[in-house]
Amino acid sequence: MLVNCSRLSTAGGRCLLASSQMDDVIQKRHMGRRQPKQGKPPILPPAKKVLYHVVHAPWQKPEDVEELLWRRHAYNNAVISLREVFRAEIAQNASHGQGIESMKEAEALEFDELIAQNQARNDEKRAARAERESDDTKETKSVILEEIRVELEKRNAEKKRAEQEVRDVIARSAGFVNRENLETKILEALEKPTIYDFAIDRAGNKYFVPEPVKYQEGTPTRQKGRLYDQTLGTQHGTMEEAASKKQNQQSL
Amino acid sequence: MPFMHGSMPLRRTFFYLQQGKVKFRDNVNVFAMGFHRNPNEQQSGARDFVYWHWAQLQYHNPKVQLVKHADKVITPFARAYLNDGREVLFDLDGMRREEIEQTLAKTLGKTELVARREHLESIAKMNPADFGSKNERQCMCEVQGQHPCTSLLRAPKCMTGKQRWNHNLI
Repeated sequence: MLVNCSRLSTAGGRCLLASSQMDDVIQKRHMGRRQPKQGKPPILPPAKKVLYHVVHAPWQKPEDVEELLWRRHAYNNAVISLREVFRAEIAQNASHGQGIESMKEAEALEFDELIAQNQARNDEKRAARAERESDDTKETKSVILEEIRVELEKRNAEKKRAEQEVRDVIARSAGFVNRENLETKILEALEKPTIYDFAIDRAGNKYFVPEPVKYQEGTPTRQKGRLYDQTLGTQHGTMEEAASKKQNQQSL
Repeated sequence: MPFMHGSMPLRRTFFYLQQGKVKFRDNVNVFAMGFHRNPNEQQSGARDFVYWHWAQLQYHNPKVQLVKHADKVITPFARAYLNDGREVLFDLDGMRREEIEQTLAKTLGKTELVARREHLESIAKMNPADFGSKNERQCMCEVQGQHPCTSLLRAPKCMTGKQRWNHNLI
């Protein structure tokens, strides 16, 4: 309080007013240091007024006593019977739980049975699947083998064709030019010149302009191309004519 | 919102979750399921089951660990790990989702016997000294001889906590 007062001293008379109010409160609420109780200190003997003074409580009316006693009995009996009811309830609940162990055993057996059934179903399905897969494998195998057979046949045919081609080439190579027969081949070529400078119509007639000669005589013409194309005309040669010309050439 | 279209939101409704039929026994600790995301005809039942009934499984079996194996093996399967160390394997090849649900409910689900046992256990666990919505009595006031609830009948002032002899004290 002193500290507070010194702090509040700057505020003037308000400090005094506050301190008096606080004291009142302290006395009323018995806060802080307690004041001694009124009367005799406990170390002294009882006062004369109190000593040997027996209080005689007045007797209650007999009908009130009777009523209250009856009520107390009724209440106690009600509590006892309720307790009995609750005890019976607990016993009954416990009796519900008596067969639970046996039920659990039955449950375990049932569960084992269900698991066994499931296992049997799994085995059945596994066998069915194995059979199906083996069938599928066989089918796939046959398809693949068929594909391989077709491919091999194709390759064989190709090989045969290539062999035949090589054989044909070898057969044709009898008339090929090489170092040994080079001179004779040149002489043959000079004897039988092959000229490709011709026009041809749809029937196969060849038109040489100018007519080919075996040995060139004099100065050859400077103009190599044809003056006009005979195949553009309406008078085409016939197939028979072409065939006879071919025969003539071959006979020559 | 594309999420609200089609059957996707339907299977997340509370009503749909409640319709689940598979309620695992207490023996089942973990339930794993293998399926294919792009199944052929034989494997599509498992995928459909996962699509339609996985959330229901989660809802009805909050204490069971549920595992999905997507695209791991060829044959779709379900495997339950029991609390005694056993494993129960289901071959789901060529089964429709209704068949899968039925098989799981029959083998791993709670049977009639289990339901009866649990009911009896719940009764045996009941104590008349417990009160509340999950017990036999909602309130103490339902017991004969006890004071009725103060919401129904006002208590005398001396029995309420507000009553004080001396308002100067405290």
